Amino acid sequence: MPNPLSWDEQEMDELQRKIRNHPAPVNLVESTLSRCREEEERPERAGHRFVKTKIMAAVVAAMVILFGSSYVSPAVAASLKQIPGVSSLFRFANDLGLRTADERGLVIQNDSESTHEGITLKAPVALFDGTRVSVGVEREFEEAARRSGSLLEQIESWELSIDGQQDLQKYAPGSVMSKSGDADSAILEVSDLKNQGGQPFPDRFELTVRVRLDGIAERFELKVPVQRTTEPNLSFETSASAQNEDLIFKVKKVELTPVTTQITTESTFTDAGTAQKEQATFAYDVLDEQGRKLQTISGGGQPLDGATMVMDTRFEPFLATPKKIVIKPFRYVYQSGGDGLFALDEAGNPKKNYLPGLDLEIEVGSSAAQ
Amino acid sequence: MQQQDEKEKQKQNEKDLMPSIERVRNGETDAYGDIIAAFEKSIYLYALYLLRNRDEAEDAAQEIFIKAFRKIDQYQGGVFSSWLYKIAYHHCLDLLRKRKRIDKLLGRYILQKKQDLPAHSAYEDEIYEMLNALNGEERQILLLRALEEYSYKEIGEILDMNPVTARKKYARIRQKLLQKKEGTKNAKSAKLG
Repeated sequence: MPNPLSWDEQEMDELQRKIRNHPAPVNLVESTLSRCREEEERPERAGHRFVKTKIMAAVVAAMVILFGSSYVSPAVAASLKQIPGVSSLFRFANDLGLRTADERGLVIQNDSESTHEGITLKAPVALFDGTRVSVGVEREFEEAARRSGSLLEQIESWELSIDGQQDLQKYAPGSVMSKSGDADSAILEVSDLKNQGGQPFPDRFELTVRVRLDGIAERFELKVPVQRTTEPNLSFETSASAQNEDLIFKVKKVELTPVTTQITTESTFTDAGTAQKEQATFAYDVLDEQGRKLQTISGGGQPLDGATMVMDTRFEPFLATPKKIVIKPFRYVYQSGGDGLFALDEAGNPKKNYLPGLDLEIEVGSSAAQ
Repeated sequence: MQQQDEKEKQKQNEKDLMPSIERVRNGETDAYGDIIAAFEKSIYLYALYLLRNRDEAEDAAQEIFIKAFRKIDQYQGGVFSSWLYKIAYHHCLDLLRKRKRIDKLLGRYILQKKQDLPAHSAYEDEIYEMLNALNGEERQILLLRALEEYSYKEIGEILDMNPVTARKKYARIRQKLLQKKEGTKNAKSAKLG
């Protein structure tokens, strides 16, 4: 006869039974099988060598035109940019870096597109400068009457794969989709976490973007050839740091490219209990020695532990290499109610509370490691 | 006795699934339906208790099955469900890690959508209250014990952990949960008093 269960064993047994017997209805068979069948039809399942061949073919078919100053003369680049049908999506973006890239011919054009139910998504332009991959996305309708709302509003979600690999853990890429010049375009920005323990993106790869649009059953698949077209003008590590009673703030690395200023920082909040919330409100402005402020583009980071966050923040490029970089930390002010929306000032910009005790100045001298 | 019966039943189910696994490996995608049907509930619950969001758990469970489908040629015998849970473990860990990331779009127009988190049921609340007393690793161990009644050896294989460590950690989990239960009871009686 088995021993009767002790009181604590009975309690544990009861909890485990409860965990097991959750009454949630689950029916994943058909939806999952249909995704598996899609997988079967994709060439990636057919073997590694085949994948490479297919990717090469896709790159060629995508009519890659690389406008790099080291590849073509400015005059040729200018004439190429006049080709009818070549997208000017970056030329009108609210991002000096993308406009500069377009002007300098650093943008890769391609004809990747995907159509479902009368809507075509295209990814005509892409840029990779070693800090960020920016992909211009455009929407077209067979019947204009179907248009309702902007592309950004219609995008429900997106997934990425690099050279056919969906497991992107090694790059841990962060991605954001933002508004571009008009309602039918958007810019997807993807960055690796090479400054936070991840691997850097390769210099050349195929980025597959699978997008779900509201109201369309099928996913749109865009295959975008990406190639790094710039080297950093300057990249150096620093040990600049400042602290107050709440926070220790360090600037770890500065990277200047023709299209981006990327700053890597480490911020540690002394109260680990509220650190995660505080990290989300903390940011900083970047200025040159003459007080000219750079517009912030995007940022991404991940926690080292409960209290410390390492973050790459990307800004527009400096017009010329500055003598000094000035960092002015602040906290965003959120609307009351805890719903995570920024409080805005009268001009419609997010309100900021500056933290002058944490200001830092970084000399960009000839000693900076190139 | 009941637990032993359950374990026997599971072993039998695994055996019954072997022909389907072979058929999938030979290219019969539809046979994968048998495998999904056998584990969909437990994989979904595993993801649900870790992610605490039903929609995310459903997406995660689907992704886990798709990942397993892609990798099925790499399954080299052994307990199939342990192999599947190893994929589930890494997938959920990755999702939880990503959740801690902060991605910002600053200084431009920001499309901010309020996200209403779905309410949990009272059934889940009680389980979450107990899981809150544990750290991430302890939650994994408890869930694997509860959902599949895995041995410490099997848990060790899934979580890349020594079986002895898994057993010690389980004893600690039991202690923590009992303390939690006692604390709750004391708080209730103090309130009544």
